[in-house]
Amino acid sequence: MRRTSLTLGALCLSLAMGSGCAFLKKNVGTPDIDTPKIETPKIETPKVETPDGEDAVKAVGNVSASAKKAIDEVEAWKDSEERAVGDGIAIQLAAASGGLVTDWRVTEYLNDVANVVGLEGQRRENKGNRGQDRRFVVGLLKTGEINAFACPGGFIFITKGLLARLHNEAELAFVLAHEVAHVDEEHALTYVKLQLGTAGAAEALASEATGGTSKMIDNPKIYAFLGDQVVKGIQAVGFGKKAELTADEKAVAMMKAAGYDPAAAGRVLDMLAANEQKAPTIGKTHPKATARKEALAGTMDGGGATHAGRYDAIIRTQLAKRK
Amino acid sequence: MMRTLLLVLIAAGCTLAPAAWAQDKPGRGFLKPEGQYAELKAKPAKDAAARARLLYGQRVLYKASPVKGWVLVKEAGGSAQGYFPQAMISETRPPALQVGTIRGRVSDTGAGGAENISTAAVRSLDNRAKQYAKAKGGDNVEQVIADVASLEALVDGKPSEKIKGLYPDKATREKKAKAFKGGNT
Repeated sequence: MRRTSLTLGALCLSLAMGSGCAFLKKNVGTPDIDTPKIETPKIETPKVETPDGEDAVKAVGNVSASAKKAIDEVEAWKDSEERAVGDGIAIQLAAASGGLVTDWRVTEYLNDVANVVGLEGQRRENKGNRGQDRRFVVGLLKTGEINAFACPGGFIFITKGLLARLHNEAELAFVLAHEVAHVDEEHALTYVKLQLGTAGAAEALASEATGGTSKMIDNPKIYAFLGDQVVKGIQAVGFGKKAELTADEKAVAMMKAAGYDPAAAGRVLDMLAANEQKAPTIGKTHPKATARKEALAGTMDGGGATHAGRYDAIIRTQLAKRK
Repeated sequence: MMRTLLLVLIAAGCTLAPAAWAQDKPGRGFLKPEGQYAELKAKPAKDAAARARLLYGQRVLYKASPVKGWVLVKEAGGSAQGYFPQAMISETRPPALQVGTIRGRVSDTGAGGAENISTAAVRSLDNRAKQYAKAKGGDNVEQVIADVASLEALVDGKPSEKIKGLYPDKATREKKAKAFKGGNT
């Protein structure tokens, strides 16, 4: 009898283990998410001056004491604080742009390429408070518009419309390196600082929630104000034409250092020039693609890898599956 | 009689394992490492959506997996679960990772590290940023929050050296580029 009980106990245990595994397997599956057809959202252009490189720095130099304190706070942010603020901005921007494509093979590839070129950016230069621990987090936006965005903290978004028009990994590396350069050059953070000098920020900073000695970012009103302005700025205003040319120049340098063919940058700009009608926002926020190519003249020689096969195998194959 | 008893025991056994998770009772003895190496190797990408629900600071149950450096994490009192790099689990805290369930915390402080004030402040900022984005967002914002968290887990779970290692070193790249000048390498 005792022997029978032991046998039954062991049988029960093994069955329970088996059912536990089945239960677990049932819940750890590949998320089966279809990409719905989402129309490109209409973005209203806000009345905000473009923070064009040095002009923005001059603009933030002429502000009230409370704004200066807030700007100093932004200056002192470490990578982790920039990332935390950037997280909220990235979510807001992605939600306003129709959401993300959740194809993890494509996403992992985009993130790997961005971080490969990112290693050749500011992390190598070792300057300033931030940048040494920065990782680049890339998301693929569902929208068919041709565009890419950079948020504070290393968050980068590329649209499905742009990705579908690239031909190889070197071209992708240029697009992502351009956005990496915006992050490294802190163009979005410059935008934050610029906004802190405006009347809207002064009103938010004066609200009692700031509490005198507390940090600017602890004030929900200033956080809300900055979030709105920065998202609108990134989407519709851009970082200024000088900043875009700087990002192009840095992107080509990063591509070369990472071993990619820098001539791919020229091919991306040719594609943008040929698709100006399909990229209305880029037309407003960037210099003309032909002018950008001229500015890079003489820097795109030297040769390198294009990795067209790898790009085809991952991006084209996966995107074709999702059609 | 024996057949009836066997059926009762089988029925009880079938419900005990899920109940062990659902009731948040670690150490019931029914859990074990699961999956083949190849299967598990593919999981970090496949279960990203589930992992997205396991946010930093959340109390979790976890257990060892057959792949060194990875653990299976289960939401305490919930259903989300996914594989995480062991370095992202802050234990509370047995001496070493064991087979079986242990209470832990999904963390950005590394294994075993107590969260310091600065990290807590950043976490609070991050939560506020998410809350604000949630308040501002449209119908899809919950999904976007989960997707962005998945992206972060994807990138942060991979060391820089490994990312660089996915591609040939600079000298090899230049050598290949020279050999295949004008073509694809």
